[in-house]
Amino acid sequence: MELYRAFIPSGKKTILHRGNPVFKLMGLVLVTIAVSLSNIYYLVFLTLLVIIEAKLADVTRRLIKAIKGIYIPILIIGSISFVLYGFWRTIEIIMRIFVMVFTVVVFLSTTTPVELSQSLEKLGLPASITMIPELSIKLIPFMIADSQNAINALILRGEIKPRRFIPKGITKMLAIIILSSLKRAELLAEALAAKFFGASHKRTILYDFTINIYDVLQLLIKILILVDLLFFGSLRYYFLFLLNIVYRILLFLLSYVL
Amino acid sequence: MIELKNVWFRYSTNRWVLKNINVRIREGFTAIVGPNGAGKSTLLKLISGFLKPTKGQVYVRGKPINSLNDLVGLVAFVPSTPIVSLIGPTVSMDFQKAVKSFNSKFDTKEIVSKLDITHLLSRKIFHLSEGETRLVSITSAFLLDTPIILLDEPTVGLDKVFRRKLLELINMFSLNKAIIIATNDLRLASRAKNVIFLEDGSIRLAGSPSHVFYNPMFQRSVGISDIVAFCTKVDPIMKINSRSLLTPDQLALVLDKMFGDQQC
Repeated sequence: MELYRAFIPSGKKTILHRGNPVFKLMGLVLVTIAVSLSNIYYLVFLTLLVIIEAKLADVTRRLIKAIKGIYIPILIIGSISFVLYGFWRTIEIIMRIFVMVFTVVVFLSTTTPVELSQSLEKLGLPASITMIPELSIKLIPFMIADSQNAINALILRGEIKPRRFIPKGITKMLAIIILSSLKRAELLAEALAAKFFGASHKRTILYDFTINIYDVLQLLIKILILVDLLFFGSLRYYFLFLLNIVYRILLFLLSYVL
Repeated sequence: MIELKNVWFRYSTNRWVLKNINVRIREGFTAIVGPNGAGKSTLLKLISGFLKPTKGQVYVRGKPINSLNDLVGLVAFVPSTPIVSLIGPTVSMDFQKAVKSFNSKFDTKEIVSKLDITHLLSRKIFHLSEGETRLVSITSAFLLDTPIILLDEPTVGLDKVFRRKLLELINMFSLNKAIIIATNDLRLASRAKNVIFLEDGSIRLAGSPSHVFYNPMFQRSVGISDIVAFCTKVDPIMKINSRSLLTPDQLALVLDKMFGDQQC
């Protein structure tokens, strides 16, 4: 129900919130590329990485909310994939979705849309381009909230039967969501026009962005993962090496106990 | 009809939006009033099943509400963004679907002509203005013929004529239905049978409009203490009432005269 709250900036003051939005965006892009290319070993590593990031940003509860929000499509995709490709491929596909959703949740929870657009502008990109991600991010929570309200209102009107596997009336719901997003877009356009957007090339930059240790570290780790994935593919051996060590420790403890 | 027992609610933050709400709402017109951020809309969403209480329980007709499915056919809800509750594509088709949904006994034509909104019937939902969308979605909710009707800020964007139409609708149906509205419009709230005054997530006052409206705490909170003091002073001079205080209806009239179409 409250899925959209997972996508709103959390307003906390952790190291991730204070991080440079451009670095965070670069990290997001790197993870997106890595997720599309990686095998299960890399996916496990990326999942761990994003969970650590969520813990640092104090937004772990949002990840659980996101899982709750997407479990039905995951179940549908998972069952289709299981029939077509088998168990391990299904796990891989589900992990890919989870890593991407988690990364987006962490990014949107720690970056305000204005921060993102103004930092991109500082890099020299024109405002008409930098406003695109800002406005898109701003619209996501509204659209999700509208969708959830539409679904609930239609259930109460008896137009959607949620107990069915494929809910009846899903087309009506989509029509309402499209309609409300068009209305939202219209309002946004009016708001921009009212603020004389585009009337001048000069824009006021209110933020002073710095680079902290987290920015450098996360970017370095993600670049290393991508480089390793593209050129060496050695993470698998590190995993096996790590598993080997765990196995030996367990064996040693077992022999000690017995 | 509706009962909230020890209801607490918070969103993802640690701040409690609603604190220990205990209230019983019966048939008739009930208005939930209070300053912005008091928890009016959240309370309405809890009754509608859109949200689940963090603690406590909501009962409708004596049955505990655990999911939205428990309220299908019982509750009609018009949220603050009314477009999401309309199916369309045209107004008349939306009304027809509303009547068919739960085999409502209402005659659409009769209600539409009473409200004088026949000219809207052939219009597409997308082409309606904000006020028209709100009035259409409210009418649609009434046509569902559910015993409970919940309206979130129903007068926002409505002009005087549409507001009067809304009142006509409420008067038409309030005898055998529980109509609950969350509003900042005191003129509408003054017409209610019961008023619940929420502040900072708690129910401060509940009772008849005169009981709530003449409480100094309420007047201070909604910023009408000066107006009421003024009215009380001019009241004996104007000979409106033999008592020194105005009735809620007269107060609404004075507010109407002072603010015109503005919300107060």
